[in-house]
Amino acid sequence: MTGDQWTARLSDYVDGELAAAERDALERHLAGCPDCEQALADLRRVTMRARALADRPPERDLWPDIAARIGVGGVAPARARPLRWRRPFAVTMSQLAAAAGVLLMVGAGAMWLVVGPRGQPAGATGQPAAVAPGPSVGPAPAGAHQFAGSVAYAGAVADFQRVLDANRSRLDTSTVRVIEQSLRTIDRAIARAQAALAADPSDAYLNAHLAETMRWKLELMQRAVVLATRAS
Amino acid sequence: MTITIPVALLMLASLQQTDTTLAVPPSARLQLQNQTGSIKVTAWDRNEMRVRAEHGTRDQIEITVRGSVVEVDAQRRRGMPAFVDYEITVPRTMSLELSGQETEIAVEGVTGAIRAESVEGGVTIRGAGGPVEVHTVEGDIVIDGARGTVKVEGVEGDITLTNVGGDLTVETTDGDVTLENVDAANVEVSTVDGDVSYHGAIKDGGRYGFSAHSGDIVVGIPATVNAAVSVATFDGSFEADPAFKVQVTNVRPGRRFSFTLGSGAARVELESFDGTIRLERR
Repeated sequence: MTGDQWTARLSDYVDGELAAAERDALERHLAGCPDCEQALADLRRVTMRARALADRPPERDLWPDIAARIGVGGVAPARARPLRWRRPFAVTMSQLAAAAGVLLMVGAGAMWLVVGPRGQPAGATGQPAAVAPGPSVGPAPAGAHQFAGSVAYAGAVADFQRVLDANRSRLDTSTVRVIEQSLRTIDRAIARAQAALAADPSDAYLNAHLAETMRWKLELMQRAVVLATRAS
Repeated sequence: MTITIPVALLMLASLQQTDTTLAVPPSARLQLQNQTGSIKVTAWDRNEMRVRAEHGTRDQIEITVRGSVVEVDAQRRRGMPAFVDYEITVPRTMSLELSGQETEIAVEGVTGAIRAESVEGGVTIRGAGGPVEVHTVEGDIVIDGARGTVKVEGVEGDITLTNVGGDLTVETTDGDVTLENVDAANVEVSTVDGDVSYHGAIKDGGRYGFSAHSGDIVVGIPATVNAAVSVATFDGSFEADPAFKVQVTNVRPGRRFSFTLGSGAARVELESFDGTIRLERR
C-alpha cells in the first residue's frame, strides 16, 4: 500500500472503522512514517475541536427578539437555503468540516436567527409586477460582520492555514497559486462586504452575503487541506 | 473477496499499452485515481469493462475487484507513475468515482452515479443519467445532457451546463457559470468573481438562486413565468425586459426588493454585490 493510500485510511482509523487486521497494519505503518503520523495528529486535533464545537449549544435563541422587531410570529422560520447550511457533520477526512463546516453551521445558524428570513416576495398579483422592499430587520445585536471578526472564525482560518502551510510542498505549485489567488479574491469580497456592513450593520442582504463568502472561504481552505494531506 | 487480475502488456516504443476486458456486474462501481494524464470513460450495453491504458514501460496497470467495486490503479516500483492515459468502456449503469491530479476527465453515456474530481484539468460529462458530482481546482467543467442531480464545485475555470434536467448546485470562486436549456426545479448557483447566465425553465414550486460578488447575473426566462422574485445588490443595478412589466424605483445601496410575476408559484433569488442583474425574456 502506498503512503497516499495509508493517508486515505486515516479518517476511518480515527472513526474506529478499520478492521482489526487493517488497523494493525496501519499502526505498524504509522510507527515508521512521520508524514502519516503528523497527518493523523492534525486530523485528531481538528476532529476534537470540531466535536467540541458541534456539541456546543447556541448561546441564546435570538429569534424571538428579532421576530418581535419585525412583527412576525415567534417560531423560527425554515431556512432559506437548506442545501448550503444544513450540512451534516461527520468526522471524516473528506469532510474536514471540522473547523470549517461546523463553525459555519454554528456561525451561519446564529446569523440566520439574527438576520431572519430573506426578503419575502410580495403577494401574488397580476401585472404590472409590484415591487416591494425587503423587510427591515432593525438593529441587529450580532451578525456576520461580528462573526467575521470573531475568535472562532479567526481560529478556523488559522487552523486551516497552519495545516496548509505545513503541507504546502505536497501540492503542485500551480495548484497553490490558484488556491492562493482564489483566497485573495474571496478576502477582497469579504473586505468589501465588511466595509459595506460597517455603514449598515443590520442589512439582511449584506449579512447573508458576508456569511456566504466566509463559508466559501473556509470550504475552499478545507478542500485545499484535504488535497494537501492526501497528496503523496 | 479480492481478485487481482494480471493484464496483458504490449510494448510500443517507450510507451506501453495495456488492454484488458473483464466481466463486471452492471451495478458495479469503478474507482480510478490517476496522477497525470487523462481518463476517458464511455458506456456500452455489455456486462464487461474494457480498460485500455497508455503508460510508461515501468508502470503497471492493476485492476482489483473487491465485491462490487472495481479499482483501477497504476503502480510503479519506485515513485508515482508519470503519465497514464486511460480509455475505459463500462456497462452503462456502472457508477464511477474518478479522480486525478493533473488529469483531464471525460465521461459519456453513463447512467450510473458519477463523481469526478480533478485538481488540474477539465472535466466533461455528456449524457449522464444518474447523479453527477464534479470538483475541480483548476479547469473548465462542461456537463451536457445530464438528467439527474448535478453538483459542481470549482475554484478557477468556467462552468457550462447545457440540456440538464435535475436539481443543480454550482459553486465556484473565479469563473463564469453558464447554464443553457435547463429544465430543473431547483437551481442554486454561486460565484465570487464571475458572471452567471441562466436560460431555462422556472417551474411552479421550484426554487432558483443565483448569486455573485463581482459579476453580472443574466436570467433568461419566459415572460409568462410564475415566480416570486427577490433581488438584492449593494452597488450594482437591476434591469428587466419590458415584457415583464417590472417597475423598480428607489433601489439604494444594500437594498433588497421583490416582485411577483404571474401567480408567483416559483421562488427566484437574484443577488450580486456589485454587478448588473438582468432579467431577459426568453
